[in-house]
Amino acid sequence: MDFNEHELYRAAIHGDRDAFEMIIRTHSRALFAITYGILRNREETEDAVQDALVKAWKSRWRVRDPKKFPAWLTMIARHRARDVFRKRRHVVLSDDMTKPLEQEPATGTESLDRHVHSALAALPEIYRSALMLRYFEEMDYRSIENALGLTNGALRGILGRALAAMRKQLRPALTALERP
Amino acid sequence: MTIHENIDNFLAADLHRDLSESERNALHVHLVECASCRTLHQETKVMDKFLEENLVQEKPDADFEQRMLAGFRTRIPEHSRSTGWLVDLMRLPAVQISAVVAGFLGFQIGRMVTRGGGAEPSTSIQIESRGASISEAAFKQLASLVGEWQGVQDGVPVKVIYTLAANGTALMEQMQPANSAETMITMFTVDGDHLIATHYCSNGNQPQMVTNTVGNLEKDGVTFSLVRVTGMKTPDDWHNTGLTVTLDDKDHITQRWTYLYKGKTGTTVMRYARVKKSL
Repeated sequence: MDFNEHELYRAAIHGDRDAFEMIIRTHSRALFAITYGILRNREETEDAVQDALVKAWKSRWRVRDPKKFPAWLTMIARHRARDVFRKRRHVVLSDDMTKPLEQEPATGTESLDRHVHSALAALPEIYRSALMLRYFEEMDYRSIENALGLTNGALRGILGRALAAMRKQLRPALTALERP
Repeated sequence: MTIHENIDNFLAADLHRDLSESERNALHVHLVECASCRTLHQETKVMDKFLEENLVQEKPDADFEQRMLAGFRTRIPEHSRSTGWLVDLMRLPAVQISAVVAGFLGFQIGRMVTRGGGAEPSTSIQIESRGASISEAAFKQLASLVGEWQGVQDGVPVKVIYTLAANGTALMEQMQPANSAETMITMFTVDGDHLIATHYCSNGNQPQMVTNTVGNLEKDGVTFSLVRVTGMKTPDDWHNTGLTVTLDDKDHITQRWTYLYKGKTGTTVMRYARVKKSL
């Protein structure tokens, strides 16, 4: 974390609204990626990110160490997304959100897309968050470590296991994709 | 743990360009020797490419940040700015809080004794007109910059010219580096209790920035913060997000521009000296 970032978080924690608005500009997309990984619905995701930002502003005084601000912000967004997801499950029992699809032959891009989404849904939440930040927002490892509050070793393990699980799940579909 | 035992982590970090050169070399040596890891490498590469193409399509649109910002401003109105002191107070140890509370109560009681508890007359119109007069005074300070200024940025001489336009209601700043025919323009205007700076950037976008609290050009400077930006092709485009102009003395100014590029913030500081016309 460079000096500018640290100062920005410190100022936001101390109630500098301009600093917090800058954080909204720079972090909203990462929060969207993580939250979308949990909810996979754009409208709900936007609402959840918005709620998380408002909650973060109201409770910013809880953060003692500015370095931990991005991971703390991410945690608020994840909690908010989980709340929305839990409430949604009470209304509509949607098995396809939580269960991987049966291994059916991939006949086209649409089918493959479905496989990807169901494989993602089957992953533990922290794996999904790391994958979403990497592929959705194209973030490098250092930025993902900051956003999720992880060490480099932990992140490597998470992304390694996440890709291995996806690979296992998608092997039939990917084999079909490789065929001429 | 060997590379073979840890192959998933190595393959992911390799595809995501997180391996050091020595780690990458060691991995590639292992892949030459191990057929099963080579197969995993191929499969992981195909999947990596597919995920890149598939997930990136689901990104939010270019206006997403603006919606988040607008929603935040609606739900946390401007007057909440004054709660900054409360946040700092909540971070203090209990003893210090007690001392602050006691001091505050003492101050209030003292006021009641000396003024008989009477309320101060105050109306929103008075506040607004006071705000407007402050912003007009700040604009007058900015207008004092009219003339030609010279500075050096990254070894390149830069000329800045301030002129008043629109019957004295707009201040135009033209900034031209010596090695370029491009001119960037920033227009400063007054809008009620705040100032607006609209920057016409050579990158093709136009950030509009406003003062949240009108500062003093000669002390901490006048600070503008981004409220909207037009002309962006992608959300990652380089664009300015703020500007602070400070009059260091009557012949020297400092501009601090903040920017955002691919999610990273930065600051560019420019210093200019007034060009004095020879008689």
